[in-house]
Amino acid sequence: MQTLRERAAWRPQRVAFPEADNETMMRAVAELTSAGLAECMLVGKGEVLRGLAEERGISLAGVEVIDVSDEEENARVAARYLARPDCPYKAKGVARRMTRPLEHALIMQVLGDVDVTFAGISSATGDIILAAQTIVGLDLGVDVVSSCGIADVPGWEGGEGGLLAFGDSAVCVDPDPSELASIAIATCDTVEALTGWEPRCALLSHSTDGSEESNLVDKVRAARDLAQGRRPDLKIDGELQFDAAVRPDVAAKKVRRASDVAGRANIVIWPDINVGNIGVKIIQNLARADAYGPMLQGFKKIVCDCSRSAPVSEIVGNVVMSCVRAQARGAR
Amino acid sequence: MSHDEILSKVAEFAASAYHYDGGITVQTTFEELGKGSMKMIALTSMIENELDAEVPIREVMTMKTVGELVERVADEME
Repeated sequence: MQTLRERAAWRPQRVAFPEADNETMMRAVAELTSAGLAECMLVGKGEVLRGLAEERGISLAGVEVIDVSDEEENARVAARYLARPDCPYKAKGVARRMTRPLEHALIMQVLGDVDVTFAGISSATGDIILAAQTIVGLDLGVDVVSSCGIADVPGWEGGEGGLLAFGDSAVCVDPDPSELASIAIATCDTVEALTGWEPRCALLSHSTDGSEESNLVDKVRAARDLAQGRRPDLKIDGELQFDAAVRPDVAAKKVRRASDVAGRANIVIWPDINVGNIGVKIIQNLARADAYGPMLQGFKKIVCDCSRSAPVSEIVGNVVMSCVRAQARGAR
Repeated sequence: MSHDEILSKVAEFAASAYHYDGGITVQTTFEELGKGSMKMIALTSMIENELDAEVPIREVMTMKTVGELVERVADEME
């Protein structure tokens, strides 16, 4: 995390906080600003936000306040948004959204005024996903929003120095082949942006290279073909059992063909949320791993959803990770 | 706008958003129209733009049939 903080501070990203009235979020913003980790923007009713900050004794020095009740500024932003060919609304719909902090922040992000939108402390994940999907849209080659995480497994030397990334344990319940391919692609992009690793991504199954036949295996194979077709630049392979994905000795026995991934995967893609949720819980409980995430992915820009019970430290950590992802996206 | 006119408009938007060739009635289910939240987003945007009725996508996601959506749009337009 210290390395990520240094990277975030190297080129601070502009982060919009549409739940700025929340005290935990406001304290996290003050900490991020004083540490020089991000250029923070509170999006909401300006007068209310300044009043709350004063009541709470939180300094907003260096923090920009975007006042959604400023009609003149709203009209200027709305005009810029309406001029874009990807604006899905007419003037009335845009005007409505300018007064709503989350949608206002996302519109600013589309316009390039914001690099990251960070919410979740008082909004449901589903609402954030839908608003971001509508306004920001999905990334190229991706047809569903998903999530990924990273597990730090003590005493294990596989993956990437004992770290293993995984997707998706939290958002897509039963992805079809196209959606599973999207999860693999998005997870590779997220992990590469965050860690700098070269992704080696295994699509997991109960079968390795045809050792079993079932419609579950067919789904994973179809996802592999789609993912490889959409992004031939990425190392994505399957179908692989977990051991064949992460252990070179098992891969040597079970995978009788050349593979950049088998036996040395640093990313695993669960076939559905059942496997994903159970898999992560097993790693956490039996291997005493720390699991970081979930991070939302698949949007054209970085939109982050935190837990509703997240403390200041967790929010700061999540914002830092989001900023590092945004830096990589900007560079791309 | 009458109920039938709203149905006619919503059916037109749904056919466009979901690229659906079959006839759309109040009984048509969203499952029949096809999967995909981006399609539902396109449908609700068309309804908002053309009928000035904003129905949140999360609400539409809980609906089974086009008829339920038509009822909700009619309420919003009252």
